[in-house]
Amino acid sequence: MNKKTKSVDSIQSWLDEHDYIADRSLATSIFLNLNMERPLFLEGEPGVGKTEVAKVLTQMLGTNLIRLQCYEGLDVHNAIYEWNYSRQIIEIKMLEASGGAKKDDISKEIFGPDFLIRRPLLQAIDHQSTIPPVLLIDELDRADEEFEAFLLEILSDFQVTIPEIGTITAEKKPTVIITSNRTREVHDALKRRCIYHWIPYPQLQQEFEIVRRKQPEINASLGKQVVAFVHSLREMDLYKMPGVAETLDWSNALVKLGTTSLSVESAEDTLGTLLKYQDDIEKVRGETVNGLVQRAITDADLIAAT
Amino acid sequence: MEDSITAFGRFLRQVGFEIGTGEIMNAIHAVETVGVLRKDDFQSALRSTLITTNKKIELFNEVFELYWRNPDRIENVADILRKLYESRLAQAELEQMTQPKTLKKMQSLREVEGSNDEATLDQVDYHLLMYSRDEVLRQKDFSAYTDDEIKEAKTILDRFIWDFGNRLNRRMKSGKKAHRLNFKKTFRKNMFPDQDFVRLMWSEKKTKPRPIVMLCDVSASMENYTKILLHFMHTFSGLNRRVESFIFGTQLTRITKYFKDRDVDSAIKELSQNIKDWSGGTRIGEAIESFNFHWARRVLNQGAVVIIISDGWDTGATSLLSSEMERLYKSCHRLIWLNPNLGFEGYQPLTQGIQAILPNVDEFLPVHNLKSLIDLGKVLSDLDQRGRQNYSYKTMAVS
Repeated sequence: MNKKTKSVDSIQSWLDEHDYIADRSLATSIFLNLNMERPLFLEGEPGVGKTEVAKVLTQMLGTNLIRLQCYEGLDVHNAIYEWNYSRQIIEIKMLEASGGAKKDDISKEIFGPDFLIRRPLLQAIDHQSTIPPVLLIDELDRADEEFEAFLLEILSDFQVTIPEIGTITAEKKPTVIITSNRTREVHDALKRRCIYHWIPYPQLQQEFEIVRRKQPEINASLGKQVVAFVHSLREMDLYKMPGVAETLDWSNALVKLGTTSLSVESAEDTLGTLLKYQDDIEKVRGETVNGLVQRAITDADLIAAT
Repeated sequence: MEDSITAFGRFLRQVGFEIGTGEIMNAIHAVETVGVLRKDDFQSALRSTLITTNKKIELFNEVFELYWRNPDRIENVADILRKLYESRLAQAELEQMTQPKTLKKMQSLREVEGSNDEATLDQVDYHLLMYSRDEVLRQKDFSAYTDDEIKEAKTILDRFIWDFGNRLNRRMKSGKKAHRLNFKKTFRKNMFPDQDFVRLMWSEKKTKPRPIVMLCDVSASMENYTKILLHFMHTFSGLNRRVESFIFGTQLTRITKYFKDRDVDSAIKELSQNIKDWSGGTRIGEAIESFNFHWARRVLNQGAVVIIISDGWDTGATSLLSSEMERLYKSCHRLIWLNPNLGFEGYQPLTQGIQAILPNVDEFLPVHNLKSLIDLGKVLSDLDQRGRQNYSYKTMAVS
């Protein structure tokens, strides 16, 4: 393994080099994920940077990202492999038409690698690269329990058996990252196999750092006001709190609009980038925005400049 | 080092965390990988291998602080637990930390029932009630039951078999109807055909039972019905589907875990000892709001059916009730309101509370005697056919 994965400190600075601001405990979990070869299970509200971790790790390790997006009804065919049936049938018909080859030869032909459609999990196991890929299993809570049971099996042995071909085992285990938005409880059996980490909303200072890195065009004082405003919003009783992704969208919107300092007008006009439920927007509009903007301007001073 | 981590793991078990030997071994491995130079890294390593849900993180951190403060002088376990209790007196969390109960005796036809034969299931269901000695018992209002009659009603309830509300799943299995081609099977059947034509094999969608969410009003006005209603709620749990149960009075409380106990009486006893919200006031609007905020997104997935049991006597704001019911109605597959008052002749649902909820329910039904529960069973098996908003309080029959 890379020298850079040798300590939590180096992981944290390596993440920082790639513009991912992580607190020490996340860096520790990533460190364990890389050194213990156990999957990393990231849970948290939507928009806090779970999927980002996988993308950053991919860049850091210099490998490629294999992404399996979960949804209800995800099964073997969409996750591991599927035979290209239509092509196989055509192949048989062609062989027959061109003068009848032997049964055994046809079998060997049509169950070869050309006719196998390899889906994400098989791609991750059967990779041929020197640096193993990063396997991102995104939003596992959207898949059903049957899929979890079967994922558990794969993550224990990293091998897949295809009846016509045989057993394929991973030479080097991929780095696995599983994310969940916690819309349902993922089964304990799976979580215990992993390094578990809950990613909370970032602290004021940390979020400001993130905005500075990802949105460098924003001027420092507006950046601080933006972050302070979002933090006050998160203290309110909203149906859906804005995540870090929303903070960044909002910063982007304000920059595009040429705003230099937060005002009631600019905030009200751009509420749609922060809040996605009409009820929440109604709650905030009007009097509340005024109060929040005033508070944001004063709170901004709490954030240190970098 | 290994010994001290093992001891810590066992200590956590005593506090009530579920830690197996596998987890302790992972924790040891993790600590060996990270090293013990920094306390925060040590703590992170233990946390990420021993804890699997964010709800326990806070408690873990506290226990960790208390335990590892002075490793040379490991305090008496009792002392540490006492300190924990003192610092978290009002916390409901601790209640979750009690030792898991051992399984009580299994009971009722339901457990044994594994039959897939729908016809016999239906027959057993209704036959049972035709054989019921007391027709009067079925018609009698729950609030008028004697203790003996309550016992008998409970026995009958235990034998109810709820079979309803299956929904289409996205998974496919092989089937006979020409809906969607099953390539895999078609291919296998036709690999080396002796005929010239291809025999097509089909897939159909699997069905899966819908999750049920029940919210029961246990305030003063519902007092006479609560005993039986809780028993009734228990009969829903334990089937092959997800059931979430809640009660509300002045606040909303989740009671699903109590119903995991298959012995109804001990489940209800445990429940009454731990929940203190009985026979007080009712704030339905707040309860629904609380449900929408904290639970709706987690338990209403996969087309859930929501059943609310309440007489609608509300001391809260009607506008809140109205808007929260609207939100709930839009987030679930069907919303059923059961009102014991509908059993009374001449009852008109005229209170403001009821008026606020009526536009936002699919079924508005009585729940005052056994017969109404049987009728409920029939409604539930027809849910999909009945469609939404299938009631009119003017034409409701009182039985």
